[in-house]
Amino acid sequence: MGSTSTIVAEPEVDLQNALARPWNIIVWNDPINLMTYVTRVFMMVFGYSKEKSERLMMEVHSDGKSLVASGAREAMEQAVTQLHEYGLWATLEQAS
Amino acid sequence: MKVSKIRGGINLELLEGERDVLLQLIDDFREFVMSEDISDPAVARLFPDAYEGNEESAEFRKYSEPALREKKNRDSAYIRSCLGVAGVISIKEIEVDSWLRGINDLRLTLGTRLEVTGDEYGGEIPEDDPRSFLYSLYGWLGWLQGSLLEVEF
Repeated sequence: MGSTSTIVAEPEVDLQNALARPWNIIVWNDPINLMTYVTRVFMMVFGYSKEKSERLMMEVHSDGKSLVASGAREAMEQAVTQLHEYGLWATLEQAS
Repeated sequence: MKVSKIRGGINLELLEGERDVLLQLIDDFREFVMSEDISDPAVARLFPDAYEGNEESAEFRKYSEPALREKKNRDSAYIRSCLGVAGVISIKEIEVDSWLRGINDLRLTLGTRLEVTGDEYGGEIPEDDPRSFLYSLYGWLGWLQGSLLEVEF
């Protein structure tokens, strides 16, 4: 006797891109943006907690860059536009 | 300059001289932000490439840059309108980010012109440097932005 399980479609989950290679947003270090500002931007654009935003900001600061988000291309392009509105230096690349 | 938290927002008090300088800078920026000369490092910093590849970047730029320019224009127009009213400037909580972005655009432009390298507030500049005023302005903008960021809601 095998086990059974069911799956129910969740409307908030976009299945269209489930099998595609995701796109990553990279934020690069720059000498102008204040550290507290970069933290604030991550909280505003991605809705991350202060702790997570600070961790990512420190990664940008000490490693020169950080992968801050990953997902479907269109959503990531929208987020990059928002980061550019805030003046962060952000780029997109497809996950390898 | 004095920043204080009030109910639902921030009060910003500027000295008359500070207000005049910020007004002038904002007006200059509103003209500058219309430039599409991407070979200018300050323009390139305000409107960065979104991809490493030139072709993808150009394609992305084609549809995103006009809206991005419009957004920067709106933020600076909003700051301009706040500065045009005499007395203490009241910034509503939901409008604080417009100020943060607008001041940041000024810092990015000025910082790129001054080729700042690391010190967040511009560092020590010899007084006889002809650009010492611009450095102190850059430092002051950082101080203003940092003060706005310290207010937690």
